[in-house]
Amino acid sequence: MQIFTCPFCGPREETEFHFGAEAGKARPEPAPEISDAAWADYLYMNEAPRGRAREIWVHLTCGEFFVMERDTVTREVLTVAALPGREA
Amino acid sequence: MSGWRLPSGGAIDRARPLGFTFDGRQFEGFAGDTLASALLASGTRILGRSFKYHRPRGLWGMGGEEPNAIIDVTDAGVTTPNLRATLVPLRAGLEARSVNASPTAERDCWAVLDLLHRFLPAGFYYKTFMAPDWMRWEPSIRRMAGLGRLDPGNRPPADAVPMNARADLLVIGAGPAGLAAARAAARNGRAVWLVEEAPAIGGALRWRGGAIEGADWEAFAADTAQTVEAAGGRVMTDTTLWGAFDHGLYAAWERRAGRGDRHWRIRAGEVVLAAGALERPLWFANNDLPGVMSAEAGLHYLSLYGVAAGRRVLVACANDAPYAVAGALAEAGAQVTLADARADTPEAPEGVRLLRGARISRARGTREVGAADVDGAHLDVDTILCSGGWTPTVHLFCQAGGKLDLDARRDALVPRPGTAPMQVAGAANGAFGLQAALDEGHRAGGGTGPAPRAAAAADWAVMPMRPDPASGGRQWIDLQNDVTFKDVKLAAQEGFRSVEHLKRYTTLGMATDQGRTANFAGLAALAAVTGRSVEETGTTTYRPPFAPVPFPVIAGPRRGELFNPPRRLPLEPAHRDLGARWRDYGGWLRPATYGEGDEAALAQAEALEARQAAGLYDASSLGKIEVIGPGAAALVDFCNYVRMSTLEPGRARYGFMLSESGVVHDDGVVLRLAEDRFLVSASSSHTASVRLMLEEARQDRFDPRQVFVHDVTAHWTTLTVTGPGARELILGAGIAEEVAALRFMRVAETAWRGVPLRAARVSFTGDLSYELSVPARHGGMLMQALDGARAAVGACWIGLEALMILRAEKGFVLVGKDTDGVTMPQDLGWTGPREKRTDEYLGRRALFTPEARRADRRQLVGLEAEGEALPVGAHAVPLEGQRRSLGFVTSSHMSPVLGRPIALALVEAGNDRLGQEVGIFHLGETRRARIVPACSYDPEGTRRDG
Amino acid sequence: MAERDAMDEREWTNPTPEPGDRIEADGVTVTCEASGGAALVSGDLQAALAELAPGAPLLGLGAEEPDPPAALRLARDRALVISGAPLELRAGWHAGYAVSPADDLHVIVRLEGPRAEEVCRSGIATPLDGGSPCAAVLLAGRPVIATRHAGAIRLRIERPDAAWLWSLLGQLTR
Repeated sequence: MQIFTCPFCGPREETEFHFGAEAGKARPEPAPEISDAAWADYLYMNEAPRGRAREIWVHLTCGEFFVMERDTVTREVLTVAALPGREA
Repeated sequence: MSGWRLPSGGAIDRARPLGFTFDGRQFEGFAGDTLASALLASGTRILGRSFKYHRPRGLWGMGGEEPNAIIDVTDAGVTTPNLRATLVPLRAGLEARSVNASPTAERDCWAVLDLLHRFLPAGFYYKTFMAPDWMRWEPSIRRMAGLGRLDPGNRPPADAVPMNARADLLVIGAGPAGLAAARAAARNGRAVWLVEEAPAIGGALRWRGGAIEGADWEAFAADTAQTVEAAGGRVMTDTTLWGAFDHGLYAAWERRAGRGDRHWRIRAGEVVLAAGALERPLWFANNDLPGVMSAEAGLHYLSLYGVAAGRRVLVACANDAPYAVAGALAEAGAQVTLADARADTPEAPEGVRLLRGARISRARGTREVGAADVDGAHLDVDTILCSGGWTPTVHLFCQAGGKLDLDARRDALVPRPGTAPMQVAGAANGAFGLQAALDEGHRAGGGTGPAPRAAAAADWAVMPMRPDPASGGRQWIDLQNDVTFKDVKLAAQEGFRSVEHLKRYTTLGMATDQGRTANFAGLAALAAVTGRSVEETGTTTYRPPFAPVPFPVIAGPRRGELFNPPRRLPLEPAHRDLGARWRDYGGWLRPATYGEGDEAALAQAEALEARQAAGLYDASSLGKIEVIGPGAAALVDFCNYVRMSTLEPGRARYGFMLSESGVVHDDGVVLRLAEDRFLVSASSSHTASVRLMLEEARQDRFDPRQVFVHDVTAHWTTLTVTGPGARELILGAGIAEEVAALRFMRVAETAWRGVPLRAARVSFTGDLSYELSVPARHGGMLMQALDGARAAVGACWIGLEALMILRAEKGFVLVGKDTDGVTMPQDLGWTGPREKRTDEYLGRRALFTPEARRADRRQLVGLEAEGEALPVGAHAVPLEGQRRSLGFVTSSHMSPVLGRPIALALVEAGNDRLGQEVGIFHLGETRRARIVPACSYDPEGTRRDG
Repeated sequence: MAERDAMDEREWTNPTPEPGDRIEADGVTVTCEASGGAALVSGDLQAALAELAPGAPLLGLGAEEPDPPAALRLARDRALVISGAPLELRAGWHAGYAVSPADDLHVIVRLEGPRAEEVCRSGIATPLDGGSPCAAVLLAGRPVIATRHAGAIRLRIERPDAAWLWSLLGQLTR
C-alpha cells in the first residue's frame, strides 16, 4: 500500500487515487484531420516505462487531477504537481 | 513413547491440569503448555501422516517452522484446520485431530503408499495429470493427499478488528537483538513498537537463559519493556508481523485470548528486523522418523515446559549451539551422546559422551526412532536431536525487496545491506550468539556507547552440512511436502534447474510451512547437483504472508452487510412497510417487487397496473450531477454525444456519455435548469464515473474557474409517477397545476407544501411520467401524499422488476446490460450527432475508425417469439447454413400488456435483418424468433402525454 | 449479529440512523446528530464565504468545528458550507462561485469518549491531525468528512452509505 501526495490534500493512502493516463499526451483533434493510426496511437499506445514515469493521477476523494512522477520499479514517488494553472 | 515430563521445572502451572484429546484419546497437560509440549510430555510420537507417502511423522520444532505437527483443533465448538501444534495454547477440553490420516495418525490405512514410493517420484502430479484418463485418478488422489478437513458448519465470528497505526521505529522480534535495539532507541526518546510473535518477549533467552549486564536476562527484558513504554512506544506479544508492503507498511496479526484478534496496518518510519534464525535439520537416511527433532526445540521444551524429548538421546550437529542442549538434557537425567561432525569442537558438556568428527548416516526404526548409525556404529537411542546449522529469518527483508549474500563462514544467506529499507540485526543478520545479537541490536537501535554485555561471549562456530549424495537411503529435505534429496536430483536431471522450477515441480517449500526448514537444503542440494554455487542458484521469491493468517483476521468486519454493501434509499423503511422485497440493482438496494407471492407474477401484475392506471417508483438512486458556471454548456457538450448547449432553460434532452474509444459509457437525460446550470442524470451505477469524466474534462480542457461539478445525488429523494393516471394522481397529492401541465421533456423548479420541489416530465416507461424530487428529509411527506392519492386512480407501487419490463417494452436500453464493451451510439440507432456534429466531443474520432464503420456491427433490435420468454444470453444463429453467433439476447421478459414475450438483442447488422427470422440457440435447443424494431409497444408514442 | 452475517442482501434490514440514535459501548458513544443546513460551494471560496457565511472558517481534516456557520473543505475549490438551519440560498452561479443545496446530502455521526480516536483509526488510515487542508478522507473504503467538535470526532457520510457506517461502527465499538 503506497502513499501518494495529492498536490492539494497532501499525503493520502493509495486507495484514494486512480491512475488517469501517461502525462504529456495531447488529444489529437479536430477529429476529421486525425488519421486512424494517430488516434489509435493516442488511445492505446503507452510508454509504460520501467523506472521513471510521468503520469496523470486523480485523487478520488477531492477530484483533483495532477501530475505525478514516480519510479515504477522502486515505487518511489519523485514529484507531484498540480495541473498547469491550478496551483492557486 | 519417549518424551517425558520432569518432576519440576518449566513455566507451566502444575497446579492446573488440563484435559484434552488427540485422535480421540484422552490426555492431560498443564496450564501454560502448548498442544505440542503436552503431546511431547505424554510420550505420543506419531502426530500425523506425511502429505504424499503417508509416513508417520512426529514433532520437529517449536514454533511457526513446524512442518509435521499439523493438527485440526476444535476449541469451544469451533474447528480450525491445519494449526501447528507448536503454536496452539493448551486449553481444557480441546480436541485435536491429526490430518491426512485415516482413521488416526497411529493407524493409518494409507501407510501402504510408502511402499510404493518408487512410483511416486518428483513431479508425480504433473506426470500423472498429463496422461490420458487422468480424471479417473483425480478423486482418489485427492482423498489420499491433503491436509486438514474444513468444517462446513463452522462460521468463525467476524470479530477481528482492523487497526491503522504509525510507528516511529518498528522493531520486529523481541529476542536479544530486538530488545537491545528497542531499548537503545527508546532511550534516545523514540516511540518504538516492539513486536513479538511468541507469547512473551526474550526470544531464545527464554529457554537458553543468560546473564546480561550482570543480572538475569529477565531484568534486561523488563527494563527494555519499561523504557519502550515510558518513551511512548508499545510492546506487543502474540503478534505475527506477516507482511512487508510498499512505503513502509507492515501487516501484523495480534492474537488476543477471549477477544477478537486485531489486524494491524502499521506505517513505520524506520524498521529493525530482529527475527532470529531457524535451525536446519540434518540429512541422513530416514531423517523424517518420529523422534528426530530440532536440537534447539529439545532445549525449548525442557526449559519452558519441563519436558524432555527422550531418555536415550543422540544430539547430532556441526556447530556450537547444541552443546547447551546436550548439557541440559544430561543434567535432567537423560543419557546423551553428542555426535559433532567437526574434529575441532568445544569441550563436552558435563555428563555427555562426545564423539568428535562423527556423522549420523541413518535413523533406524519403522514407526519411530529406535537406533541410529553413527560412522558405521549402531547407537541405541530413542531420540535424535539435530542441528544442521542456522537459517536467518529474512522473509520480511526479502518481501521488502532485499537481496541476500552467502556468508560462507556462517553458511547462511544473509541480508545485503542497503537493498531493503530496514536494518537487520542479530541472528536474522547471521550474527549467531548472544553477544553478537546484543551488539548488532544496540547499533541498529541507534545506541551510542557500549552495547549491553552478556556473560557468555563467544559466537557460535558453524561448519556447513549438506545432504549426503552417497547415502543409500531416503533423505528428506521438505518434510511437509515429502520431498527427498533424490527428488531434487531427479528434477535437476529432468531439466528443472531453476530454483523456481524446482519448487513448482517438486513442491519443495510450497507447503503451509513455506519450507522454513527445507529451502536452504533444497537450494544447496540443487546447487551441488547442478555444479553451481548457492549464490548462483539463488532463492525463490519471498511473498507475504510470512505465516498463515486466518481469513477472518484479514476480512475483519467485512462480512454480510458490511462486505461491499449496496447503497440504501432514505425511504427504505417506508417501502418495507409497503411490503417491498429487496435486491441489489447497480449498487443500490431497491424494491424488486411489493407484496407476497411469486416474484415474476408480482412483476407482471405491477407492470400491467402501471400501464392501465399508474405506477409509482423510487428513483432516488438515479445520479444527479449539477454542472454550474459560465462554462457549463461547453463542458456538457464536450462530455455528451448529444449537443445540450442548444437546450433552452427548463428543457431536457436524452443523451449518451461516450468513452474516448467511442463506446457508450452511460445514458441519461440532461436537464437545463438555467443558462449556466445543468443537471446531468447518470445511471445509478455510473454516477461516480460520470462525475469523474466531467471533472477530468473540466480540469484538463476547460477553464476550471468557469465551471464546477457537484454530485448532489444523495441530497434528493426522487419518486416517479408513471402511467395514464399519473396526472390525476399528482393533482390528488396536492401538487400544483403548473407541474401537472408540464409538457414532455420540460422541468420546473417550484415548491410544494413549502418545500423545494423539482418536477421533470421525462419517461423511462413511454407513458406519461412525472419525476418528482424533494430534499431527502421531506421524502417521507412526498411519499405519503402520493400514496394517499394512489387508490383514487388505481395505481400501485412498482418494483424494479416491473420497471425493467416497462422500459424493455419501449426498447429503452440499460447501459451495460443491453450494451457491451464495444457498443457505440450508432449501434443503438442514434446516428444524428455522429453525422451532423462538427465540434469536438468525447469519443468523436473513435466513431469513424474502420471498426466503427463496419456494416456488420452488432445493432440493437427487438425479438418476437412465441411461447415462453427467450433466455437472456442465448445466441442468435442463422436458421440455415453453418451455425455461428450473430449476437445475443440482452433483455427478455413476458410483456403483460402485449401478452407475449419481448426481447432486446444485439445482432450483427440487425437493422438489415428486420423482419427476418433467426434461431435462438440455448443449451442445445434452437427456437425461432423474428427480428423486429427494439420498441415493441406504442411505437408512435401516443401514450407519452397520457 | 445473526442478520449482520447474512450474505443475502434481500435479508438486510440495518437501518439508516436517525438523529438521536445511539450506540453505547465500552469507552465510546456513537450518536447520530441532526443536520442543520448545508450547501456545496465551488469556485472562489473566499468570495463565497464572505457573501454566504461571513466569518465562517475553512476547515481541513480533523479540524475543530466552531458553532456554525463553517466551511468544510472538500477540494482545492470546493467546500461544504454548514449552517444551523437549512440555507436559503439561490442555487446556481453567483459570479465566481457555484452553489448547490445539500442540506440532506450527509448523515452526521459523532464519536465521543476515550476510545473514539481508536475506533476511528480502525477505518481511517490517514492521521486526522496531519494538517491536511481537505476534510474528506476514506473510511474503510468510503468517503467521509472527518472533523472534531467539542472533544468528539464528527463524521459526515453520504446518506445512502450511512446504514453501512452505522453497522460498521456497531461492530468496531464492541
